[in-house]
Amino acid sequence: MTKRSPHDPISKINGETKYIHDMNLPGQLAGAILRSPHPHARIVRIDTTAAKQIQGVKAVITARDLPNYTFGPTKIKDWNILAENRVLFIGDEVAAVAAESKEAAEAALKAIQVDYEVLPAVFESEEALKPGAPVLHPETETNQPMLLNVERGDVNQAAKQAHIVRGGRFVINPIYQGHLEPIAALANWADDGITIWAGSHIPYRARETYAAAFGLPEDQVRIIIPPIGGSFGAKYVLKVHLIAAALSKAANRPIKIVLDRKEDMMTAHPRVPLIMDVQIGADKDGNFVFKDAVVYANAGARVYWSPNIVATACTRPDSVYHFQNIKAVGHLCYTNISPTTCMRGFGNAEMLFAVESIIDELAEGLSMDPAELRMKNIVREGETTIHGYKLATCKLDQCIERVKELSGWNRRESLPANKGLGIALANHVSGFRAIDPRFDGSTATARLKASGEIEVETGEIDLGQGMTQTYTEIFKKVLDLDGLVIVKSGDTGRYPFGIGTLASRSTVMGGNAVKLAAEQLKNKLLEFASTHYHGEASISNGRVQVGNQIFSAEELAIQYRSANAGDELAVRATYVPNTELPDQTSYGDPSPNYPFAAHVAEVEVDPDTGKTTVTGYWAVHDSGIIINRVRAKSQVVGAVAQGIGWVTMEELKVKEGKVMNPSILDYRMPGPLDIPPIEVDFIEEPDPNGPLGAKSVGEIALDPVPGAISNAIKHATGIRGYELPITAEKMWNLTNQ
Amino acid sequence: MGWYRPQSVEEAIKILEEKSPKIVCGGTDLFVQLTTRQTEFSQSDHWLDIQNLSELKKIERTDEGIEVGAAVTAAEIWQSPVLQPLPALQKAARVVGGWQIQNRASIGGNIANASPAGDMIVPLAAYQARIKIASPNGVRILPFDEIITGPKKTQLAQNEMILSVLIPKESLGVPQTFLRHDQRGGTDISLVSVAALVKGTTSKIELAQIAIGAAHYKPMVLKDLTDRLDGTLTTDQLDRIAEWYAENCQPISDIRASAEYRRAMVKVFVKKAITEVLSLNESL
Repeated sequence: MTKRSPHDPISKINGETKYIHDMNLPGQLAGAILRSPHPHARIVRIDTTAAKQIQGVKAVITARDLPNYTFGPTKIKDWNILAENRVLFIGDEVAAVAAESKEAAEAALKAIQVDYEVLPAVFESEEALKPGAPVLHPETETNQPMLLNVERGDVNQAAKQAHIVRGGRFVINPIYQGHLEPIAALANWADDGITIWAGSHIPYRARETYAAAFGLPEDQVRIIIPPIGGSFGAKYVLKVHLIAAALSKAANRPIKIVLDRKEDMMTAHPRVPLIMDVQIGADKDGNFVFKDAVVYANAGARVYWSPNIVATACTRPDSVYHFQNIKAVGHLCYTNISPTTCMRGFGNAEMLFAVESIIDELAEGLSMDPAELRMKNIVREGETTIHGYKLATCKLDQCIERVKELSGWNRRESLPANKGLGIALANHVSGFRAIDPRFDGSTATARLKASGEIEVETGEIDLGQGMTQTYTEIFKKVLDLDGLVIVKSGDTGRYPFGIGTLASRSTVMGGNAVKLAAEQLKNKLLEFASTHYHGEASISNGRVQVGNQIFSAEELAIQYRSANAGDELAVRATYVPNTELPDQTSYGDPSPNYPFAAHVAEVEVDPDTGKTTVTGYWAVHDSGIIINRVRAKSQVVGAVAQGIGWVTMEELKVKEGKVMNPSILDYRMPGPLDIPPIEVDFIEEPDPNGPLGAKSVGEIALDPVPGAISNAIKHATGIRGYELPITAEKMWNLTNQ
Repeated sequence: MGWYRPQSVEEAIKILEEKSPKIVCGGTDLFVQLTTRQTEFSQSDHWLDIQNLSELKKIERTDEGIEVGAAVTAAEIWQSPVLQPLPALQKAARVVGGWQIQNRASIGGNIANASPAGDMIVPLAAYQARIKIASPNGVRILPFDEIITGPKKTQLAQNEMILSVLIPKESLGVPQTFLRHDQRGGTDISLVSVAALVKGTTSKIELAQIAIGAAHYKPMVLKDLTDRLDGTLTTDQLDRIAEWYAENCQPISDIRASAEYRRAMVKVFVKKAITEVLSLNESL
């Protein structure tokens, strides 16, 4: 019987995979968090006396019990563990309790008395920038933790000379990442440091942040990452992790906190809401001459990952088309809503929604086919884009041709009433140099175990997308021995350093490191076999051959160990990409390579109800060589489904800072009946910088979806939706205005 | 807290009298409210689970029509051969929640829960069904129109329980439909729904009964519609019926839709439903 790989997805299907929710430590207590009911208030008094007296309650903590360091996950250090003087949003953490049971913890929360003095609050980003708006953080009097200016060429001059200009105000509402696994943490504070079990997929940044919060050296914070049940950007660095650790110290017991869906959604850190004023101009032949964008980003009450989203929105789509002259101003604004953060697409999908919408308006104004107008303006292989991206490979032109063919683009002018076809393009990165200005790349180790199995260790994190299987396959393409390749990751105390799974970086960054490790292990193994058995060594059919002799990996492992005091054959390889850190003006080559895609959506809009049904979808991707077709296709299909939700129904409805639909019942996500057949194809040419020629696929798969669907809706109805989601009711309002 | 599972209606009524429990028959809405903390339940609450009472699980053809027991589930309704002459009810049962919900949600629960967005209650209103209710004082029968008194409110007394729904034979086999407007393709809550029964053609209407759901505190029915139509159903009359429903319903604005949109959709869906049923008549 062949042994089942621990990475086999069947473990998840059978419910064998153990998530944090399934884990328990001896002596563990239940943690719970008291949260602010006000969007902005001064804390006048907190009385925990009654709460501490409840049977089973082992600790009740407030800010007074905690250190007060300046820290935060980005360069903007505005975090705390619990609120000290003021609460800044509904859900802001005020106190926490640890108790023998969840019921006792809940009772203790109710028994904590807090007197608030309610303060004026601000919820909209533009309002927050106005003089006299309530100030959230005294050290940022303008409520503007970041202002980004990017300019290349002369946009004012180009605007004057443009033959046609189209644009408008595009609005991205907060959307919930919708991870299946709830937010959870398990923490244990011991004499030699803290161990936190948490689903972070940038655990080394989390470690740095949490060490700073407690004033500890980094090596006294260990983060272990059990299997992650989805994140889509929600689970980078979270205060729940810190609070669990703080409670563990106070109670001197391990603490587990699992948010239920309501608490998760009430305090969710959704996709950063953006208001984007965007204009694009073209000459009479349809050559783009400028793009001008002003972005107002709602960071919420504290900075999680929003600055990076602003920077991406202000620059990334400029490397899909030749706009020639570009200007972007990005305002990041504090408001009294729950802090917002990243979600798949990371600012790029948002700005592309605006860009792709405007391009269709330009095509209409110029009486040109939208696909033709795009083809005329796209970036091409070998070029360096306006912001310095070096495109070693770019098959975007072929993606457009292929998606037109698959979707039957030519029928666009003869579609029945209320039906429409829309196209949209996108680019993305495979890792981003500026995530950590200090370094870029990835490290992997590989070890031939005594059993003949190979264990690969990486600093990157599988968050449910199947990264570990990808690494197994990359490894086996280089060194294909009989026996399993097992990928281990997710423990800052054991495995190599990793920057994390974000910016679509895991396949290319971690994959290149795994490939290097496989090459090194192969060389060492053959060298050993050759020396030990006196002859030229080679690998065939999963075994090592020296002359006429054939050895299994296990046999060689035994031989190697007997010659090396029992040590195993091991290598450690680091991949350092040839990227350039973007400079002060955002110029640089931040990724080893750049994937591209062209999508076409077909919709039918019911004129009576305004309801959009996506009736067909075609996606063609240039992600270099595809390592595993099923997984790559699944990424695209999942992203299209997510995009259908984003465009047609999903919205975290926030009224004066309060989430009005904090349940999956009231936060509608698409189900199988909302998803049409999705045809996916790949233009496969190897990229010189990708492992086995691969580029990323995770985020680019979502980037074009909002543009493609909203362009199809416009084509079907003649009405353009500028604000997502374009729900049935919104469409009906637009139609009946 | 106590969880009671009686073996007979008689025993159930006795527990009702003695313990004043909350009746549960599926719990698909009741317990969701519990976990989303919309309703506070107390630890001392008693529960009376009537889902397994065989007396309440019958679907029977009678001289007067069809009697459907209170504990019959949505899944049993849409799969029942006896209920095939009532396609509007079967359609409504088939869109309630998802499959898991349909396997638990009961028709009696749908009535007693009195959610304005309930699905199965809409065809029941159109059928002008009657509800059989038991209490320690005996059995009474109430017209469907009278049972729901407000959003989530009925005139059932604490010691009463629904035994069955009586659907009159006049509704059986009449061309009918149930349409629902929702936000996504499946497992959703109705924004607006309509059940329509029409017998005849535009020039000769014998019967017309229409109920709308999710747009009023209870399913709303225009009474004596057949008489008002005076034997015909012109395009003009069709518009007027749709207008009438839109004008007289009192929808609310909530997280799912605004009152204005719901009202507009009432008009759209009443017309859609009647048009659909008229075409069914033509193909007879």
